[in-house]
Amino acid sequence: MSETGNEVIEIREVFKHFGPVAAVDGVSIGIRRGEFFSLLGPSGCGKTTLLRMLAGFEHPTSGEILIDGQSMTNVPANRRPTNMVFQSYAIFPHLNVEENVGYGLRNRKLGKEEMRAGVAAALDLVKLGGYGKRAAHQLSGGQRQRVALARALVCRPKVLLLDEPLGALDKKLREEMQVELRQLQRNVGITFVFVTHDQEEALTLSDRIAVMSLGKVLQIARADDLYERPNCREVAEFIGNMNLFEGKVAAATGANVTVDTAAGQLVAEADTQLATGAPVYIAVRPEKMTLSTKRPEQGQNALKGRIIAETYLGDRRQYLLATAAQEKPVTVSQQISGIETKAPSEGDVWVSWRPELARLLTS
Amino acid sequence: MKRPLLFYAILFMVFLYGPILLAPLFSFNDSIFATFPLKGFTFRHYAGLATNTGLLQALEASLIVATASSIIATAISVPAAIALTRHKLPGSAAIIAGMSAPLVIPSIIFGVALLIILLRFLGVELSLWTIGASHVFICIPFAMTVLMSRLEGFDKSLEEASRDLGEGAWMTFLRVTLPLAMSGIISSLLLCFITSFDEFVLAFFLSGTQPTLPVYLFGQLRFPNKLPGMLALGSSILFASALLVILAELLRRRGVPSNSAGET
Repeated sequence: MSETGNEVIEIREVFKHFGPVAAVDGVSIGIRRGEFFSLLGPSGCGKTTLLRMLAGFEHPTSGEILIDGQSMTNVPANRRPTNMVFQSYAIFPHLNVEENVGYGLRNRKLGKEEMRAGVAAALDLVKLGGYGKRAAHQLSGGQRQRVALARALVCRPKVLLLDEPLGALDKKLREEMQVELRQLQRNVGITFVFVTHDQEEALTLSDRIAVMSLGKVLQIARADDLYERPNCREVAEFIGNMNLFEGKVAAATGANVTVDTAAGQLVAEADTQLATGAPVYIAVRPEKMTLSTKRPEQGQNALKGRIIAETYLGDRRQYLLATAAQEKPVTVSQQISGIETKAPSEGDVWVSWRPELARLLTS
Repeated sequence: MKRPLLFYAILFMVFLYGPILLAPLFSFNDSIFATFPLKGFTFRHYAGLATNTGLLQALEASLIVATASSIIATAISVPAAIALTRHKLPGSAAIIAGMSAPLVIPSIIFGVALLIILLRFLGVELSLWTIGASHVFICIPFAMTVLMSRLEGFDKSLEEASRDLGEGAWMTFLRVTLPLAMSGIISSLLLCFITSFDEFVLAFFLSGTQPTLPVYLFGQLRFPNKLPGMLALGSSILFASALLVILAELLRRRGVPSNSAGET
């Protein structure tokens, strides 16, 4: 993690135990000012607990959270420079839109006009101008979400916390809101911390993503790094599709490492020094692989197999290959450009990839 | 609905409400005897109520006791209901069971026990205060039931949202919890009012010189010529009680929708 001092949130060695269960298990994260940061993981991985600790609804069993350089240990939720968009949106049902959005401004010592202007500006920001007098129960799901956003943003928080805010929306609306959310974040320049279990959503929206599992952070990286350079099997398999070949290091010459696998010797590039005999995985994305009927030239990794399934996905075709070497079929994805040659569905085919396109994982 | 079930339902209602409806019937009968055949229609018994000072004093006493005990019981129950629905308290099941005790303890035993405590140990003189205090006890289970069902129904994140938006515990209570619980509070007040207003046994044991309406009514039944007047009184109470209970139930159902999830 960079020590640039540009971090608005510092989470230091935070643990949270519920009884004997460690919901958050020693997490340290630095979140930079103005970035769109996502906490990504399956349900129960501790991401929501972590977010609730940032908001002040839960307290770390040990460790410390700093926001803008100040320890939040003894700061209650209502004094923190954070605002939250709840999963259920938590729109006050007894107040209209205007009163909902203005709820947090009562303590700001604003004049009536200033307050009205602030509320109107916030509603314009989320494209709900003119909806101020609507009752809470007259709003659709998408509108509720916008009201929740406006209500949080009007308080000008240093950090906006979002707890799976798109989960309750249907697919089309969700995709629209993703684009809007991203634009909104760029416009207001506020740091967003976004919790989601949807890897696609996280990849689309975020500047950086922390992948969590069982209360621990596995990797913190930009979307492309996370996809291209996962640091462990779990991340590799959680984000997109990944073919994995288990093996042991046979020899290392320069950057190239030769690995003994059940599928024979495979070569991959490694960025760290690996001892001979160390257990590793070779990870290759389906779209980095090529199919051919003839044995490919030397210098490439190649496996022989038979196509057992083919899926047409519009922009690409996905093949499943049974190989002699491993139980799990190899997935190969081929872009449909119109000039490519379709792989034969009968007989043996070769799947190959260049060593530098594979990734060597040690865990 | 199937015919046998409909028949059963009608029979059930007749047995339940038939006897009660005799009181209003005879209260309009132009005779001092509550017997068939009916003599003629009259409002005379009702008109007589308005000029009966003993009755009016008893009515006043009942209104005072019912108003005070419903307000006190509800005021005590609101924080308790919040505590029991919002926090995981150790032994909350025991607390709820203990709080419902007045529902299952025979009121005659409760009345005797209170009488002994008040007279022997505390040396308190019997008055409307002692009746009121006992009514607070028996109202609390009703107040708690109504309030807890209201509070359990609403999204916990609403209160968190209020805290998140800068309000402390007290302002969150005033700006979110209280307005959302208001329909429950009002229906609790009405229900407690009726419970106290109609209560006889405890009021009978614990009343001093001022009787409440049911106690007064019971006393008057010794005089046969007062019967039609008491039937008129009983009918009026019946009508007013039914009205209040229906109102309380309507309010409980019609409250502001208490959760914020999804489209409505």
